[in-house]
Formats: sequence, C-alpha cells, structure tokens
Amino acid sequence: MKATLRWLGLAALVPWLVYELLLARILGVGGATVMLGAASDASALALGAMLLALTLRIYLVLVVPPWCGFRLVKFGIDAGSTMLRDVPTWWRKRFGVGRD
Amino acid sequence: MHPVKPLTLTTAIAWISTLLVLVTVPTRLCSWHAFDYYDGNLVAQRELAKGAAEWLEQDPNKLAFRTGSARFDSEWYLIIHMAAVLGFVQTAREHSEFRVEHARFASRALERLMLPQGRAHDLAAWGEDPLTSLSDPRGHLAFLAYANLALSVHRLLGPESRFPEQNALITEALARRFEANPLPLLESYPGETYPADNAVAIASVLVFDRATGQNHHPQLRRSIAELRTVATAQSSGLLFQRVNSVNGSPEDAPRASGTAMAAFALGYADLELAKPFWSAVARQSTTHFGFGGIREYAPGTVGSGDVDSGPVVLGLSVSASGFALASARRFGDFERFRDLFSGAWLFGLPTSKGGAQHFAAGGPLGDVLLFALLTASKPS
Repeated sequence: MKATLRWLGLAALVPWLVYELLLARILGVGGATVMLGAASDASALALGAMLLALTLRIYLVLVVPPWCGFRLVKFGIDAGSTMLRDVPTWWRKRFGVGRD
Repeated sequence: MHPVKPLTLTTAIAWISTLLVLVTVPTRLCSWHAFDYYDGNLVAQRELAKGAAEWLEQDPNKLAFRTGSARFDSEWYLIIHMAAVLGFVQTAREHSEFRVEHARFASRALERLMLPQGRAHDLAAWGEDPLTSLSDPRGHLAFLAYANLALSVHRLLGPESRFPEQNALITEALARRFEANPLPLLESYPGETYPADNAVAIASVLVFDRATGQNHHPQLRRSIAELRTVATAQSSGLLFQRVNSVNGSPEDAPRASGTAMAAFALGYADLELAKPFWSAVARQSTTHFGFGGIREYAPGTVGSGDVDSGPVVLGLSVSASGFALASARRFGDFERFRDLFSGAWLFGLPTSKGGAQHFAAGGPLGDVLLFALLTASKPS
C-alpha cells in the first residue's frame, strides 16, 4: 500500500503540480498558437510550456486513472486473497472448530 | 500444462479493469460539467462571461495578434469581438440577471469591433473601406458578414442597441449585392469566395429582419438556394470551403469547418435553414474513448489543416468541433454535445481563476469563442 501511495504521489501529484504551475504561467500568453496552428505572439518558451501542459493534461486524464485502477484492483485482489487465505485460521482461533 | 499462477490471474483482472477505467473514467472526468453548459446553468455561463469580459477590459491594442499575417491579425480581432457580442447578447437574453451588465459588455465589444483594426484586413485587400463603399457592388464579406451578424444580433437586445444606422445600411447593401451579383454568392476578398462567409452574411440579414420586422428574404432566395445546392457537396452535405468567384465551381474540398460555422451562424436566424448543414456536420462526428470531434474532410478525402480548421489531428478539426458544440446545443443533441465538450475540455486546458473560466490552449480567441459557442441558444 505504501508503495502504491508513493507511486501515486510521484506519478500523479507531481505532474499535476507542474501542470497547474504551467497553466498559471502561460495563461494569457497567446495559446491560440496551438489551437489555430499559426504563429502568434507566444514566445518559444511559452509555446513549449503550452505543449508541455497539454502533454501533462493528456497524461493526467488518460494515463493516471487507468493506472490507478490497475494498482488498486491488483492491491485489492492481493489483500482479499490474503484475507480469504487467513479465514480458516481465524475461524479456528475464534470458535475452536477443527482444533485437534 | 502448468497451472495458471494466482499472480498472472490477478494481473489479467487488473488489466481488464484498466481498460474499463480507460474507456469510462477520463471521458466522465472531462464531461463532468457538460450538462451545466448544455442546460444554460447560470453559474457556468457567468464564469464563461467573466473570462471573456477580462479580455474586453484590456486595451484593444493589447489584443493585437501577431500571427505573421496582417490579414489574420485583423480577422482574429474581428472574430473575437463578434464572438463577444454574440456571447453577451445570448446570455443576456437567456438570463435576465445578466441583462444590464452583459448588454454593457456587448456594446463595448461592438464599439471595439467597429474600430479601424476590425476591418484592416478587408481594407487592405480591397483597397477601399468596407463601410464607406456600401454603394459599390463588391462583396467585402471578410468584414461585412461578421460585423453585420454582431450588429444584427445586438439589435435583438432592443432599444439600447448600438450602431442601428450602420446595421441598416450594411444589411441593405448586402441584400442588394446578393440580388444583383451575377454569381449568387459574394466575394470575401477580391477573387476569393467562401460559402461559409456567405452563410454568415445571409444570417446577418435574416437576423436583422427578425429584429426589425423587415423582409429581405426575396433578395436572398437565390443565394440561399445556391448555398444548398451548387456550393454543397451532395454526397456529404458539406459546404465547399471555397468556390470560384466567376462560375461558382469548387476550388477546395467540402469541409466541416466551414459547414459548422455556416450552421452556427444560420442558427441565429432560422433553425430550419441551419438544419441541413448541422446534419452534415453531425454525420462527420466521431469519438475516441468517449472524446468527440468532427472530421474535417468527408470519408475518402484526406487533407491537412489551415487557419480555418485549426490543426487537423487524427482527421479531427478543432474549429469544426468547436462550432458543432453550438449547433448540438441548439438542436437538442445532448449526447453529441457531451462528447464534443469532453474533447474541448481535455485539449482546451480549462482553468478557473477568480470565478472566470479560461481555456489556456486558446488564449483570448479560445476563451471568447467558447463563450459564444457554449451559450448559443435557439432563436426565439
């Protein structure tokens, strides 16, 4: 679980923070460059920031949720199967059934 | 034969879950607010309006684009202010709470639209000012179509409308030119005739008629028929992007960006007139993982993007997808609206600051256009 959370932090939180920072910085610079495919008053740096923000957004929306789903399902099955495996032992301890 | 290991089975189930999440969650995340916009939610419209108003409060010279083309700089200036007028007028009409404030913003946008930089592209191409040459027979649609749509729509607000004389003069000039021109369609620039621009000009005259009770329809009948027949590819229903200024023969492929804009503009005047164009655009719609878009070219045709369509990625046009949002709302097609909205919300880089909705990928043009497109309502 700790590893999952750590990965979540690294893989989602950090890109999200960078994305928000980029949005705050590039907003109003002239993103129409990207939208309409013509040169505008955006500097090369702002254009790069825009493209990075776009990449991060696609990553955050299209990659992170499925990845979280993968990790959570895998974690859930592993934890569930461990619990199920432990049930007979717990049952024996609780009710004394099957004790020699 | 080896038994399947539990780890492998677990991984297989996890991968299936991943695919299920991929086709459901991202599109749900991006369409979260779709119904608010579709339904005309007051708060959603206010945020869009505030985002657009922030650009209007800036010095008009700060909005000067430097696209590398003086023509596009001036065109964008005109379009941004036309879109602002449309957005503020339609939200003022949809919510009485907005009426006073948005009427003021619409007037400001109109005043700025009528500044010389709004028609510099037209003047440079024709060598004469479109507003002082209204008695001439030449088209000038590059300015007159868009300016007059804004003027006519603004007139729907009532007595507080601005520039009523210019609106009437431009409308008369357009109607007269449509009737007298050998070709039923008018030129935007010398030797350049775009059916979509003609649709905007026709819409501007019809909206003027709605606002004033006049009737120019007889003068437009021939041009409307031309748009529906000669200027439309009968196989796809899409408008040819450009036609010959002398004989009306196609000079570019039938494309969704022009058709979607025509449907958007005609939707202000008459939904029945807009319907065939919207139907053609709707047939071009497609989805990838629930994210919708409009294919720029008809099936079997391949082409690239330009300043009209925006970038064409995976065959999808940015501007056609944007304009289609407006028609989807007008024609009550929520599913298509939601899919298109998801695409716009993913790639538009939406960000909200101080109650103002912005779209960083579009800059001022994106903010103001999406304001107009997401709030487009049915003609009442």
